Amino acid sequence: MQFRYYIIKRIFFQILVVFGVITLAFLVTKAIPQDPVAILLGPYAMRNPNLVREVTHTWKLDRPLWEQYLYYLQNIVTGNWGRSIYTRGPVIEDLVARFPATLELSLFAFAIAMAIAIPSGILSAVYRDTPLDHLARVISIAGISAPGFWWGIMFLYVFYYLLGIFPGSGRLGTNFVAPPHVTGMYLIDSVLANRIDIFWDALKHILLPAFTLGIGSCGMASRLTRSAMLEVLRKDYIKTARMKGLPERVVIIKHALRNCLLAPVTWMAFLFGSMLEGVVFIEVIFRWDGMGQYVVNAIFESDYPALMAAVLVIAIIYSTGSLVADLLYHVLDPRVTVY
Amino acid sequence: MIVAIVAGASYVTMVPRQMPQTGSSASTTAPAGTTVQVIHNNTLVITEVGAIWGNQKFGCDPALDYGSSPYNLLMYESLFAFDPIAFRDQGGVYKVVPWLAQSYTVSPDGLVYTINLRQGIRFHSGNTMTADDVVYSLNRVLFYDWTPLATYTVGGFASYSPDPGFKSVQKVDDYTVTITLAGYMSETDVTGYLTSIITSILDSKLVQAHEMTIPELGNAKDFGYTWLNDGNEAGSGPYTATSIVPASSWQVHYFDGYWGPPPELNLPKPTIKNVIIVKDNEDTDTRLKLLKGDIDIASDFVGQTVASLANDPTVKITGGPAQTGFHLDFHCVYGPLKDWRVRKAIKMSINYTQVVQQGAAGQGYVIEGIIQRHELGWEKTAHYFADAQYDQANKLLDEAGYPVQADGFRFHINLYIRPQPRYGLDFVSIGLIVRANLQNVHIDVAPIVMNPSEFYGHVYTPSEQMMWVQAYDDFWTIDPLGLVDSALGPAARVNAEPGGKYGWNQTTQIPDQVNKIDSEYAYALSVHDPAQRLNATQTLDMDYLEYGPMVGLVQGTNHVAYNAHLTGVFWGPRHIWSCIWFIQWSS
Repeated sequence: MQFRYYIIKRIFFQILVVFGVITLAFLVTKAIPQDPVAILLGPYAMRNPNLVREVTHTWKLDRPLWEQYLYYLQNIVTGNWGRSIYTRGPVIEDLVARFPATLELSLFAFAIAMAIAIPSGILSAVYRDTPLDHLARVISIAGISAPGFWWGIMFLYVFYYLLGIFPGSGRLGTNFVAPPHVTGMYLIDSVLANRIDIFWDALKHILLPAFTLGIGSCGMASRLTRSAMLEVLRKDYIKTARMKGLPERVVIIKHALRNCLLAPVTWMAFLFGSMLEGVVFIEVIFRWDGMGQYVVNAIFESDYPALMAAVLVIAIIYSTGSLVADLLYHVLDPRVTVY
Repeated sequence: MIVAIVAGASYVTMVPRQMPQTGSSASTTAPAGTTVQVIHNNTLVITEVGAIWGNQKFGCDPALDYGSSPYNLLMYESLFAFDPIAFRDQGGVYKVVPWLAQSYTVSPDGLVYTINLRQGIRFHSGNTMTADDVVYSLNRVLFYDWTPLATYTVGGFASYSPDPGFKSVQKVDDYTVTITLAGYMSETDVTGYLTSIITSILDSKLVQAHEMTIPELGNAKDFGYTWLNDGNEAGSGPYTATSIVPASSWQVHYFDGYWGPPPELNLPKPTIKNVIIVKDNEDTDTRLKLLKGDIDIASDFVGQTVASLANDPTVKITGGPAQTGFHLDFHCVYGPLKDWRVRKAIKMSINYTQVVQQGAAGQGYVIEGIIQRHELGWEKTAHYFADAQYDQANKLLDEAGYPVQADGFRFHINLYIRPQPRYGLDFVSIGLIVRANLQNVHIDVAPIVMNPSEFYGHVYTPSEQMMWVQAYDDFWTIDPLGLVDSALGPAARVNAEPGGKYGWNQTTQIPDQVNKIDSEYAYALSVHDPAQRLNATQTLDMDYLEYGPMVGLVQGTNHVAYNAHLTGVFWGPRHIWSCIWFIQWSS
């Protein structure tokens, strides 16, 4: 009961956080010294004063600021997130078209990062100060140190151009068209459409950009896991488990692992949100038609409706990640009460 | 482990490129007299790097989706076209030939064009082309300007309508139309305009069936723009859509029922069955794909990339002067730039060769006048100002009353530039070269980089004392006066206050010069004799160059890098359309 109440309370505060972010974004866009009508109409249409007046009135830009803000909130709640100045289409449609690509890439990158980071962190800790530990440390630091776009270009050059192991950029090869849209994620949609050839091609295409996106996070997660594991391995109950004669594998997996994951899990929950930021460079280099490119172009073109909608989406993702992290604490260690 | 398995399986199962899995395939026969050895899967993969992609949803409206004009040219046709053989054999010469038109006549006063249409032309939908389609297609171009729809289109920019050039388009009978001009335009200008992608002839029945109104624009009719912009096409060209995802990729295949090309031209039909145009934002990725062979043709690399590909035996490069480039513009209302001597001194101080060699990595041409390389009349303004005439410029600035101050500069001025490369040219490096050049005449230039929307906010504020690097492009002009008209005519006299281009008519010193140039312009517009017209245009161009509010910096190169196994590829101003008739794969 208490747990349910806690979730409801957290969702309520999450809404407040998102509301705060929207308000801040609204105020910042109002503070920027640009005329949104001029951006929408462009230089030629601006010569028509009737048109300027009409558009200003339609967008309620001639109303007081507080009225504009309420109008904006009303639109958000009713699902009218505006029309992109650049694509001319509803922003929601733009985001729906692009977000699945980013989500698919981020999920895959996250899975790869965790699949590498956690085992390597554990092994580093267990085989501390061995060549394996040193190798893992070098890889982790290399992943953290080099910028993601550099890794992307290098991976393309080596694995695509020199070795020919992976295909080049894009979500699919030129000899395929996208599967029928269900989720927008090609890996899922291709399976649903029973097109294993497209699935296989999409899988080959996602690996390099996912690895590029994940490599920086992988390094950090590995170091965190290693530190946490080292601390747990020093605990008395671990010594007790060993003295009882339990196999080392059982000691690590059954007793140590769960306790060492608290710190990495905290970080990983926010990691997913931050991947959505880092995905910008990756989407450009790998020609991935996702939200990252959309946001960058919206910034360059002062496309306010698109920017504010993107901010809203990212705020929701971050706050959801925070909630998930808190809930995972309780799952990993029931002694931890977050409520 | 997953990565390793997939990598291993990928390496084993990497297959040669195949035709797209959807869409019908078309059969073609090799044109008589040509040698065909190996046809490489009949699929051509093309990319154009950078500028036109991004978020912009360039769809299939030929009149408004100007960014997709290279690809729309494969699906749409106009009343006239530029002869591809002249492009190929005469170094890119613009020679206008009737295409969807069979023939035409011009009234004695030059104001009414009567155009007889070819019969038996079918659109991709199966509908037959008639005069109704021509009237609808040309009228929707005229309607777009000044209507609320202008705001609805990409960039808020309606079209290159030659208003007030074209007054009306009317049907005479099912296969005859008349175009009436609002004022005299040369025949080359009129027919040249009617080669433009913007004046493509659409299947009016199909488009009208998909028209809608736009509530937020006062229920203005959209003339089918929404439907066309969404990736639906209504053309008659040699290729038809297979799969079009605007702003991402275009796949077209040869249209089996294609009527053309015009039999009198003896052009071969295209042998390429499928054309795939992919988006790419980034030079490195595109370059690797070209070298790997996953892309067959790529264009719009920056100059440094083109130079790096020059020695690769698997890639060939061709190119020619593009109708695009950069010029340096001035506000003329207030401050030092109001004085023509200051403007001229700046123009004399620029090292144009350095701009091309360093700013464009050698991939461009010096340009100074409005008439560009490859345009009729270019020779006279080819190199009007010598490079870096610092002594003469300093003298002129002293005469203008701007001595060097205690801080070492005569005056300080902002130079606005945009961040991203365009047409293979780099705004930022060119802006920095201008800055360095002007330091030699003690003018302190502060380069300010900003995004396009903010940039144009400053451009259209002529009270601000500033210069800016402006990209220009002209897609169809073959008559020099048409080009000049675009720089000086009504469309170019934007909403500057006081009136005129950037306050040009407020300029000081030699006040009669403004009136002189205006009268030269009016004369050039009215004279009919081609030789006199050319002479008048050249005189106008040189006077405008001497006293006016702009100077050309560099004309870009339309460079194209392509797979060395391709034959028949050549540079042409109409992108892939110019050579699609000739492209084949060699063994």
